[in-house]
Amino acid sequence: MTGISFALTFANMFKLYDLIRFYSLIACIAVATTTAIHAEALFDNYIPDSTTITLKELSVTALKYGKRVDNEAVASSIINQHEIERYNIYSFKDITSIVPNFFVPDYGSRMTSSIYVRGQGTRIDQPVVGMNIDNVPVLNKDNYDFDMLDIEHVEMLRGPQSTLFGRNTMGGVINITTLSPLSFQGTRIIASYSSGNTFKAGVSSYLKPTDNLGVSFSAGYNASDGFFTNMHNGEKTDWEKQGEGRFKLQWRGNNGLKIDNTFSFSISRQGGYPYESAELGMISYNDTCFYRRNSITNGLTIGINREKYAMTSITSYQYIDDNMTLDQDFLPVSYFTLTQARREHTVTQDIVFKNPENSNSAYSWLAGFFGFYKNSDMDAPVLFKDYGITHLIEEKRNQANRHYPIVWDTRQFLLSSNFNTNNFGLALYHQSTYKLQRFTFTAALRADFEYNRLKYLSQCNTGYSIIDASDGSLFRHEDVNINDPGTVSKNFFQLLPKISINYDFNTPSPISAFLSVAKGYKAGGFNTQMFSDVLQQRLMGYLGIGYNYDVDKIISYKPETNWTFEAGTHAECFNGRIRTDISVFYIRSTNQQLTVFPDGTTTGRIMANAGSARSYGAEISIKANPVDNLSIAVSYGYTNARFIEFDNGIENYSGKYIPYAPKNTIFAAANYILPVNKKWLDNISFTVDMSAAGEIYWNESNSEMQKLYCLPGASIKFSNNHFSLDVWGHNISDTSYRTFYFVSIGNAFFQRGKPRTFGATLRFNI
Amino acid sequence: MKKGLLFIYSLPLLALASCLDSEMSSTQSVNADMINRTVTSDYSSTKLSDVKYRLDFDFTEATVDITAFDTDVYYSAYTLQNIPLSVNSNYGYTFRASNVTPVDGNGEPISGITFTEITGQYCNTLELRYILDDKIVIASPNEIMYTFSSTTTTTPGSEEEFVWDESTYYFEYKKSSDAFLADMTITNIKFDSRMPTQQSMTFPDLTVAPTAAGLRLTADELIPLQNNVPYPDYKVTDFEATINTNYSYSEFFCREKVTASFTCMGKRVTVEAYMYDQDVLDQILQQ
Repeated sequence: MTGISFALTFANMFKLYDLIRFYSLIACIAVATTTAIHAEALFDNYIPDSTTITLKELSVTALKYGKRVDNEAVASSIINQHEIERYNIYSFKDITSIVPNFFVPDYGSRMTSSIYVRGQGTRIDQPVVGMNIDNVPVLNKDNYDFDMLDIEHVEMLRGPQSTLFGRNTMGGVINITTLSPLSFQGTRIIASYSSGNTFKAGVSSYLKPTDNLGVSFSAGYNASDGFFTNMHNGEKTDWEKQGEGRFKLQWRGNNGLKIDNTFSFSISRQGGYPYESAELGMISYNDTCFYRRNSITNGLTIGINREKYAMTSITSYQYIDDNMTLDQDFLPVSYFTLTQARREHTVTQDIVFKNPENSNSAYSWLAGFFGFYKNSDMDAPVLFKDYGITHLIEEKRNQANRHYPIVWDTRQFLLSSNFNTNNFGLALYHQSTYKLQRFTFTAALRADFEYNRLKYLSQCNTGYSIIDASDGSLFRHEDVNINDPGTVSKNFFQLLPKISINYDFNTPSPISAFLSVAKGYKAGGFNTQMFSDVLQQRLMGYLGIGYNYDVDKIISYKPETNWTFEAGTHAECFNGRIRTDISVFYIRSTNQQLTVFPDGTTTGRIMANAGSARSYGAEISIKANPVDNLSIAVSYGYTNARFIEFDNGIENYSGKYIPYAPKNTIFAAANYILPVNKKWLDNISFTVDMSAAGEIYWNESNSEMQKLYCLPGASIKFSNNHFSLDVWGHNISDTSYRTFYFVSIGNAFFQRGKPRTFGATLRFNI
Repeated sequence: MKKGLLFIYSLPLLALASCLDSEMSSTQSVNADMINRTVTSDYSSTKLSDVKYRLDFDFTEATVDITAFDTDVYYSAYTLQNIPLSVNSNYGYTFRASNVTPVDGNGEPISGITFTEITGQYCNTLELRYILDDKIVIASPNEIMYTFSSTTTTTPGSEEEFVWDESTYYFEYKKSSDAFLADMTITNIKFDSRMPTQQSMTFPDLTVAPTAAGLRLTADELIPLQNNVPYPDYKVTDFEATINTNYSYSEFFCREKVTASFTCMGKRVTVEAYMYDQDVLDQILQQ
């Protein structure tokens, strides 16, 4: 309850955000200059970025892959804390392009987490990449995107992780670990101000009351006026206010018992959706767009080490309460608006057994059970407005019959839909590993069952009059009364195998090579966004026109599976000064889930299963520290992803590039630390970086494209033991590029990437 | 092809479950309102009449009794009893008898009347054929749907033609005074690639006349209806449809075909439609 009270109290602070911005910044500076308390400094002790990171034992990655994941038979990228601070990483979207072939375009709102990895990805419903935050598997990707304080490190495992991590990890898994109070004690304060009147502030406190107990509290707030203006009303569209908090408890018993519990909450309010009309050349829409989200998560990890086995239990509870409201046409005319208001509860349980940690046996094993239950209740009304009634209903109908035209009873009416979804899954998995000299052979299998049931109720009560045009008299009045309840359900069963071979070259610095074959799986389900169109066409059916949609067929989509064949190498050279990770891959997908717009003047998107697709490419990451104080990081990912077979009944897109997935991702950065060694200033750090992505095709026909674009950045950071001041710039060339493009009701829209931004970030350790 | 597959899967289901469930009960009754077309043996004269039939199936005995009320035959209801019934997993129920004397309501044989070459099938709809007094009688349901269609639209002066095979043609027969009329409802209408698909449209009050081969439906000019609202811009002229219902005793099955042609919006539309997918039917019958 303490956490919830804390959350509610924090929510009220949103009303004082103007005061908070100004006074918090002043307070941070005051605290920094007047307080000096001994604390463990995190800015001392230069650690090269190329150094292999050893994961903590209760980390879910360490559980399933071992503590040295970056030497295992998997393409992995680890971003350490220094890099997180250097590149200003607060959420998973910030690692786009830093990790090769990993791309998360920033568009829409915090609800939009469209992840593309190696040509795989979707914009709605099931993701291709799973996410764990402090071991909690975040099952709803609408909750992926929020800012977090004190991220300690981020691991991105690429390639199918379905065998060990389950559903929706066919492209990979991201594991985010926040700072541990057992490894750091003290108080951290951060304050940042940047373009767009963007303000971030946060405070966290890490305590270790006893040798084996660590407790931490953190709270953060950020707000921004945004960068893009809705020309219809002159207001910024992409404003945002967000708060988050976390309470973490870690306890280590003397008998091998370990307990971690992390409670976190996030509150997000934003305008969002700065979609520019290609025809108008501006953002201009007249109805409200916003996204509001409250979420609470609690994750409990319990680990037990016994003589013959180790057991770890990860239990989580996740709650989302969100509301997305859109001017669905994104135009300065009143077609219709859409709201999706949802409450969702999710419970997950993962139990992993494995051989004891210090086992020297050549054979090691891992076995686990995973289960989840998710219940979601959503109201999704569509308000049809005057312009939409006139142009989408009356005109269409009256073109076909001008002798008996219709006039709608009212100039706006409601199409309402309510959905209740029950979704549960059970899985058993096992992995065996055998070391034979320099070879490590691994085989794993997961049996995964999932059941999904959707109850829906669509309603509409309206009417229209039919006029005899010969004399203007009423021919007849028709009521439209739609009350369509229904239930659809699906279940899915998958066997998900994986095999790999790892070869250790047995050199002083670790060098290994691997081959792997694995099956990935993305769950099928129901696309509720299509219901507004189903209902709209049902209404048009009263007029004798419209498409006869089969509800089950139009809203349900099948699972997607893929096979990935991969080879790679991990190498550290020159005493760890250079680390190189290379991988090449080939992916063959069946029933690839794609977001398409159905026929007709509709706005909803449906998930369609393409016939088949293939993707091949390569990735390379290099982290080098050629000399002390100099770090260089380069990563490059290339993906050639095309449809093998995709005919949606209207067009044949076989051979076309898969949309929204970039062909290339590039990242390069150099950081030099100049020692100053003054009492008040230890060093100055200079960083230049560049990220790039492209080409990106925006549709299945490949008629629209975003060329490769580059976003250079730079920063200068002044640091001593207790504080740092970072002055930075992103996209300093002010490159203009598109992050998203779509067509709706025959109109094309796109979202621009953020312009050049400058800012400064203060960090304090107390 | 999709409709054909639907047909393959649907027939056994229809035969075994949806129309008559022989495994659930030993007897079952079905009522059917039919249009009888009576043709002289030389096909020189034809006549239409509306007749109500009732079929009483006895699955234990594998027989069916056919009761009809047809004043052209007898002043009250009569029954053709114990006609052998067979169930075929591919195409439902069929029944045949070469020679049956009808009985009256008391079960007494009606002298002077003999039905020969009785053949019929039932699967959602009843079709019946028999010979009575040297006249061939073909009974068809007064509501028939032709699902498998090909609609070709041509524009005068242009070589282009538009072919659409998603439409369904539904005929409903009715009696007006002493004449027979029919309403034809087309669903999923598209006469042109640019035309938005219309869900349904009804061509009302087509004149029905019997022919040697079946039925002929005509209209010089009509205004189609959609949800009972006239659509004058879709005025139809020169409408003619023929429905072929002639079968021999041995080939009677599922071959009913309608061909139609009419002019609408300056385009000439020709239609060929069947109750069942003929290619799939051929495959089944060859097995």
